[in-house]
Amino acid sequence: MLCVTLQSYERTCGPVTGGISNIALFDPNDFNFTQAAPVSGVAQPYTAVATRVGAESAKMYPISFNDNEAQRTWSQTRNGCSYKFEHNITAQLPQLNHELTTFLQSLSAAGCCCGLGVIIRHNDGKIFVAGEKYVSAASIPKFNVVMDGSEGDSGKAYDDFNGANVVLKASYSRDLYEYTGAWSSIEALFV
Amino acid sequence: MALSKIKEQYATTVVAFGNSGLPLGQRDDIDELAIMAHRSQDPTLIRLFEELPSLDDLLKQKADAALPNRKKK
Repeated sequence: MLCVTLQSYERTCGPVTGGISNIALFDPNDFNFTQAAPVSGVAQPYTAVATRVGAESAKMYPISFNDNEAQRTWSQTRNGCSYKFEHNITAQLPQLNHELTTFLQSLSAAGCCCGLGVIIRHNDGKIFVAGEKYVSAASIPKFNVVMDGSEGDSGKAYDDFNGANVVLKASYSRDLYEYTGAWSSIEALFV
Repeated sequence: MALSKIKEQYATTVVAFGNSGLPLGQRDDIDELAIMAHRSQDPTLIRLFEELPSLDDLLKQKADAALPNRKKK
């Protein structure tokens, strides 16, 4: 109180599940995320997602990954008063084919030019947003998600993995904010 | 009956919020979006409304709907 405003973390006791259920990508320039004003200095989750003016036909792009083969992690480091969160989002996409090649080309282009937006549903139902650019119509500090470290493998034997392990990375000042709507509302924005 | 009203030009627009992905003209929870517009002052949402009642009126309607047996003054 005298030096810093802390807050508690008191989660209602109950089971939780790990893993990722769904991932979708978007152009951060196309979508605006609505966020209520902070409450007692605490940032609020995103409550609505809408296309921006000029991007009315914009869509989000779901990606199909192998079951139980997607994950997001972050690690936090400090240098004096400077804090960094290193984000990693990985997903195993099956089958090397032309569609995968061109998909990865689009990720390369996004990483170079615009950054990637990622919306992720965990198996416990929580939905998180990475790479967003516009919040309540204002541009936020750059949250640049790029593809970095992906690998492809045809496999050697019949039952070897054939596909790509896609890795998306970003450095930012915090963990991801939640979106409180249902995944069905996000699906309405898909291609 | 919703207190707020979406502009006709945005009736087919999809905004992700709540539990539905229907176009705004078909949503039955537009007042929830109106509450979000007030609390965020997000111009992206505010511009969608032809009629945007006050936050107090929206919250009162929401409370009245949740407590149907409450005597109205």
